[in-house]
Amino acid sequence: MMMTKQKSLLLWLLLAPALIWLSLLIILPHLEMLILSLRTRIAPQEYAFSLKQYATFFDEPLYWHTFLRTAILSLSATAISLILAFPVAWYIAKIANGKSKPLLLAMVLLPFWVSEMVRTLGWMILLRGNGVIPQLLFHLGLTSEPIELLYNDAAILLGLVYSSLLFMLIPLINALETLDDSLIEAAYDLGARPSNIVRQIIIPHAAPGIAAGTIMVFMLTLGNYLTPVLLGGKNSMWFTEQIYTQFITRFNWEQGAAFAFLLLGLSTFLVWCGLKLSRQSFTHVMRRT
Amino acid sequence: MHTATSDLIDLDIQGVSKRYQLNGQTFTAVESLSLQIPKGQFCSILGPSGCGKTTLLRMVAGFIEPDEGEILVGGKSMRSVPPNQRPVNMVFQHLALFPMMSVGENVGYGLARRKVKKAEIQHKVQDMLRRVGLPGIEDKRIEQLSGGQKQRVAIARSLVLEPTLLLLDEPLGALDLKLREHMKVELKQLQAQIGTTFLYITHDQSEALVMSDMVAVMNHGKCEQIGTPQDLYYRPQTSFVAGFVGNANKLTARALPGMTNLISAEIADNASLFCGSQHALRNGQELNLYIRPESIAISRQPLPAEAYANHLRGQVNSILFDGANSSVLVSLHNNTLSLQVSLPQNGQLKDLQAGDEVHLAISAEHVQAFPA
Repeated sequence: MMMTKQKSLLLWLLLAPALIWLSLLIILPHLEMLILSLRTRIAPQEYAFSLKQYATFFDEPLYWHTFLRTAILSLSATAISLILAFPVAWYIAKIANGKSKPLLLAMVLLPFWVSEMVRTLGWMILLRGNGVIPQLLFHLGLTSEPIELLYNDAAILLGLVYSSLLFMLIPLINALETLDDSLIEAAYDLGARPSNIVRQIIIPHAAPGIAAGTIMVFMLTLGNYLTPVLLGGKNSMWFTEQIYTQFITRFNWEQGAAFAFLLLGLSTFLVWCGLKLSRQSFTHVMRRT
Repeated sequence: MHTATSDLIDLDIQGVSKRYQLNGQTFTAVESLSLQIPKGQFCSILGPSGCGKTTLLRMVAGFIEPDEGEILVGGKSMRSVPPNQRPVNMVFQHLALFPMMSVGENVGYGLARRKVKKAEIQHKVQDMLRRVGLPGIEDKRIEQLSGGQKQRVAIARSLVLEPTLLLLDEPLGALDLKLREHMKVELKQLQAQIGTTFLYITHDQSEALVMSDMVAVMNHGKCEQIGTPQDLYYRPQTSFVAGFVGNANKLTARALPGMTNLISAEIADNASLFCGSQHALRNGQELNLYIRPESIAISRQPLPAEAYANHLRGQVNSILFDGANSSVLVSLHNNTLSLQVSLPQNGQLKDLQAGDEVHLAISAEHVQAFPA
């Protein structure tokens, strides 16, 4: 009896840091935010329950346009990351031999030693009107004057894909490394064409890795603030920017909190849709990450 | 090479070679190897690991292109025919069943790639699974099957395509001993019943001997001997085959001038054995002698002198009890030599103890001599 009591005490003690971390840093602030988002100020220092914040979101087209735009651009960035990362992951996992594999992985990881801010500023140096690429195009005579490549959706997408590629690559490499080469050979031997093998053997095997990478990249891009603001300029219209404006510029914490919850709802909903569509279970995907 | 019988030859390997560059050195995996397998035969390629047998199999399957030579399947050259278009299917070493598909989808995979109609696929899959003794398991997942069932599903997946030739790459290697013994018999029966030509790769001589109609023994990329299992066992043509197929005592010796029509070889100081050899041996030539444990007669009393050419006396060193395969190690000539001798099956010598004096006798034909 004493032993089991001691054991359970030990278990609680061991769990304590994680529980404290979860409750203090995640659950408590979110509860506070939820309460904030559901109240309105009726007089100085006096608040009442209200859905006004959420109503504002639907009444004001700018807000839900930004919301939709953020969702669509994030989905596009995720899709582009997947398409770009798949061949790279395939090469690193299956084709690269013993010596070049760690080197290639290091090359993928290396840019992430620099902070996201510095990397994004690097892109600004390359893309801005008097930056490297527009000047190069101008001097080669491809454009009649240096064109501004910054402050458009393509620049935002580029920045988002660049900053999230690693998070797509790692789960894909892990998933593809566990694929037995003889499965591919067996399919080939049984008369499959390369397109059959990709669709029927490789993608189903890599599905948990694809789901894990996609979820990570989607959440990261949806909640990204720095890259859209720096590369998209004043008109980037990113939803996190709206949240920032409400909290910091307008000092309307109630509205900001409501936006934050809408964003949380959106990401949860889309991840759930993705998992349902690909018939993956969340626990299975998390195990593979 | 097109003879009148060429349409009865399912696999014709003509002078095939394959070399690899490894750290700047050329390594020959298969060296000008030729082999013909008649239709409907169960043929094994037997050899130690690294002898090039897997390379050979992968060349037949089409995963590797030979540097030289020609491979004909059913009389047609397979040069630059990709694996997905060859009339050859392979059962992989670890079976390579598709875990993302059901048993039925696995077996029907090749048919679906040939654009066979769904209903016909279903019918053929059912029929094939019945023939391998697994009726009605189409909807099971691969991970629900036992080792032996997986084995049969893998074979069914290849056989359903009715290949001219079925390649098997040590498919029994991953099974435990009991199941392996069982599957050996089952595979042989299945092949006899279906009649497809099998090319079976193994390093396990017992698998090759039990199942095959013909066995090719490979070593260092070359074919040492092709023949029936009995040929290989009783009439090995090279020193390697004599030592690799079955158990044998190996002695080093020197050829002595023949006394009669028999060849004699000196195995130790003042000791010699009469032996049989298909090779012309010179006086004084270094020899390897192979004597099978079961070809040595053992007794407590002297054995009849006229029945055996060779008579030896020795002392039991240790008893190796293994049921029907029990044997004893007998030391000869003051412990300079030791022979493994099978114990008679009738249990006559079951009370033999270490240290007992025994008489051994071997007829000359059972001492196989090869130039070293």
